[in-house]
Amino acid sequence: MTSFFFLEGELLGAIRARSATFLSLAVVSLFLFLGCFASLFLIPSPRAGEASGAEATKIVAYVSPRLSTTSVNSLFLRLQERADVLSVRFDLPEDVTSDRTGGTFTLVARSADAVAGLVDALRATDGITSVEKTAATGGLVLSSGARIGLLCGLAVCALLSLLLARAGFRSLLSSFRNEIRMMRLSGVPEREILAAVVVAGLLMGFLAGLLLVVGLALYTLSVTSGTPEALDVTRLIGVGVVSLLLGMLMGGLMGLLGAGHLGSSRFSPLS
Amino acid sequence: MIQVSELSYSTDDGIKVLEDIHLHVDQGQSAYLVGPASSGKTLLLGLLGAIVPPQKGQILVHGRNVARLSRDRALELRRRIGFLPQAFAPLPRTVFDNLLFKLRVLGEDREEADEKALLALETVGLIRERGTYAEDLPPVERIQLGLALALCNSPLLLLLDEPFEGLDPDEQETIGTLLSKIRDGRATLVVATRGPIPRSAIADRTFSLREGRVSPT
Repeated sequence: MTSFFFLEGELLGAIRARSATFLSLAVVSLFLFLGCFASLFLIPSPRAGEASGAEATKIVAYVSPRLSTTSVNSLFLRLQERADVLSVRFDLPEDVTSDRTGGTFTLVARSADAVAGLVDALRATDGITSVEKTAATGGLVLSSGARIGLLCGLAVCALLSLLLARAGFRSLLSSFRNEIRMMRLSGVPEREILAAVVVAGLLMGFLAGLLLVVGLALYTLSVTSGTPEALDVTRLIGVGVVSLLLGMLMGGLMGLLGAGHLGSSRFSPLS
Repeated sequence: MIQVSELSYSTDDGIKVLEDIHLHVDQGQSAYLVGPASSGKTLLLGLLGAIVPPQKGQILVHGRNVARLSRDRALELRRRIGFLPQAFAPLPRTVFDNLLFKLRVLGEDREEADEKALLALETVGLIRERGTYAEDLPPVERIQLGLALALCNSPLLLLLDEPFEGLDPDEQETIGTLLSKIRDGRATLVVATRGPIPRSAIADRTFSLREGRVSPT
């Protein structure tokens, strides 16, 4: 095992500017591939978006300063019980920048169709001075066209990452050819040389997957500061884990493609 | 001990490179295989070193029939054979690190590898150049490094392909002396060369390889 780690370190240490460029671009392509893959599962389609409330508009209702605390509480509960409301939040007057209010209710409608009715109902409610509609964060919806685009992007990025990795490994192994010849002359098993190349590919896949997980974590943070209700954490974690595994699978494939170069006569011990 | 009998080898196109080779070298002896370019010397060394699988005939290296060895057994045998390839190109690192690389990939731990590398460098007289970048070495020292690499894991058999190539007569004598010194150890030595053999090199047996056939001289 020690010799394997030594060999892996030596192989990675043989990365030069040319191979580094190709391999980095392969990681970027793989990251984009995983990004397309994750988007397909994280961004809802229009119908699914309505169901989950992701497309719902954010409605801000300004409460009269004269409304008592009890009335505000009662109004909050009434709004919460409405079938067309996905979520409701009350912000105290001191948390709201406007000085014309006794606080605000921020609501997310359950569907786009329900927004108009909800706005009318709020305007007709005693104690509500004004109602505003704002574009809700997390309202991204994946249309059919965009879905096809993502699928095309997925295929292109996969192909590109494999081609770039192949070119990168060709260059890397070329600068490592004397070492490979020496290993073959010395009786190092072929599987150890092959494993070193495949593991290098796996590391690239892991790196791309890790970058995607970090990206998803940043996305989560930005969403939870807006409308946390629209976030399906379980799905997010699931997509993150699957993307990481997919990245490693693709990385392994890239490594295998790279190891294909080892059959070249350039690496023959007697050449 | 090396025992070769009825060994023949043809290329994919059917051209006979080696034909009915018979060869015998005892343990600890040095044998010189002299022949012109493209006479099949490298191929014969490859066959003896279990690098090229034989097609016909028998090769016994230290009691093992190379043709019948499994892949793992062939690798095991190869680990006991030191090989200096023709036009040896060192690794782009220091002399010492060249040796460390070989020993570490063969599974030696750092301490053991350090010890063996220093011993091999001392044997070939390159201990002072251990920190030198191997690609900056003059041709004769490159060959010395190649010999150190072949020697470093205490092989039973040393196969040297054109160790005098590209050297002036004085340098050839230096390498010849070094080979005689190595011969005094327990390893069997097979040297392929276009000739002539330097006077300083002690040859227990000399074979001539011409048109695919070996004959003692």
